[in-house]
Amino acid sequence: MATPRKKVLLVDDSRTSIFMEEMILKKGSYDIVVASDGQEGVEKALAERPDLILMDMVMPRMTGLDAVRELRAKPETRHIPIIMVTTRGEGDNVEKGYESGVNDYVTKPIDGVLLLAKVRDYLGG
Amino acid sequence: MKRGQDQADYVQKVRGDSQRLTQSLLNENERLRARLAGLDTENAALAEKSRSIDALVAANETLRAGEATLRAEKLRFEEAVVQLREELAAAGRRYAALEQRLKEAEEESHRFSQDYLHVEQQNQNLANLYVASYRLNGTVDRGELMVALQEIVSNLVGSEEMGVFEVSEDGSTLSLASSLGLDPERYREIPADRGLIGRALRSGQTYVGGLEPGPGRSEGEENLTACIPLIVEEQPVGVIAIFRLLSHKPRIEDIDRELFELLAAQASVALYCTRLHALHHAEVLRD
Repeated sequence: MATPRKKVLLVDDSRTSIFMEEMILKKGSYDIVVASDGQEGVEKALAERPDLILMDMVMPRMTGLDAVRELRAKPETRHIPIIMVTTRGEGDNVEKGYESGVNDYVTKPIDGVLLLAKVRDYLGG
Repeated sequence: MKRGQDQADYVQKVRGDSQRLTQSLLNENERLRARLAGLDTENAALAEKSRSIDALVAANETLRAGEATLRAEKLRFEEAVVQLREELAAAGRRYAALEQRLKEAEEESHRFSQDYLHVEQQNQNLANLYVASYRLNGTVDRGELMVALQEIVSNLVGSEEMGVFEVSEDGSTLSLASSLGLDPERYREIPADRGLIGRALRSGQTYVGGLEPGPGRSEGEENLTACIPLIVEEQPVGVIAIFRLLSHKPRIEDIDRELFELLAAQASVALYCTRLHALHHAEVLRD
């Protein structure tokens, strides 16, 4: 019996960034779901129950940090690993991410090898 | 009477002699009996000794046979030792050969890993170029193109300080068409013939440099990292100026230079197309 494919939710308002992440994750045979801001990210996470979320930080409507806090507050989504994708790799920014509940982070420009390795750490494949 | 006495004496004497002889014989007999008993004992002891000797001889025979067996066994062991030594030497040679093969395999694996990383890096570079190209050619809407340019610089190059400038109709100034992380007022309009930006525009060569102050750097170009001229049909139409890189991006890499080439080739045409599209749209609306 085939193992069900893992599902990854990409939350980013940048089409370029989403496109890039999709290209990288294609190598891992994951199902991809996309949301273009934090609010939509929370809604898609509740509806789709992904196995992993890649969350941009600076987005309209709802920032990535707020979206992470909301996801961590909901029993249906609090267990889902979240990787923060940020242009700001400074210590305090990363610290805020961890405080809000992210599990890991990668910086933009995204290193495809590193991102895929981290995703595989959480999902295998 | 005397004769009778003599006879009696003689008989007495003979009797006495006989008695002594008898006694002597008895004594001798006794001594011989004792001697015989002693000899019997001695004989028994000797017989016992003889049996012990027989046992010893038998044991000796057994030992001799055992010794022969042991000698044969020792010989077999010695042969086995020689054989085992040969096998050990052969195993040592096989082990050394295997070690060599393992070392070669490890070296090959290392080379494959390096190749894999190199290929992955190439893939990533191609992906960056593909994504940038896709974004640049995916729209004729000016606003959307500006967003795409900002995203390419922000997400693929790694700078959140950039501006897209367009050449004025008379060619004397560069007007800020869109920006990210810059003070728009400061860069709203800059001379087209000054500084590193002006030089890139005039020469048609992309400027890539560090942030160190140097000749030709004008006011406002203190943090300029790269400047990409946008040229259509040999006519300069604008530039993309990239200022400070993100803190975790230490320098411009080879892939960034390739992206700059792609931007120079495709962003200029894309920008030109958006102008044509806007003109066409305006004409359609007017008609």
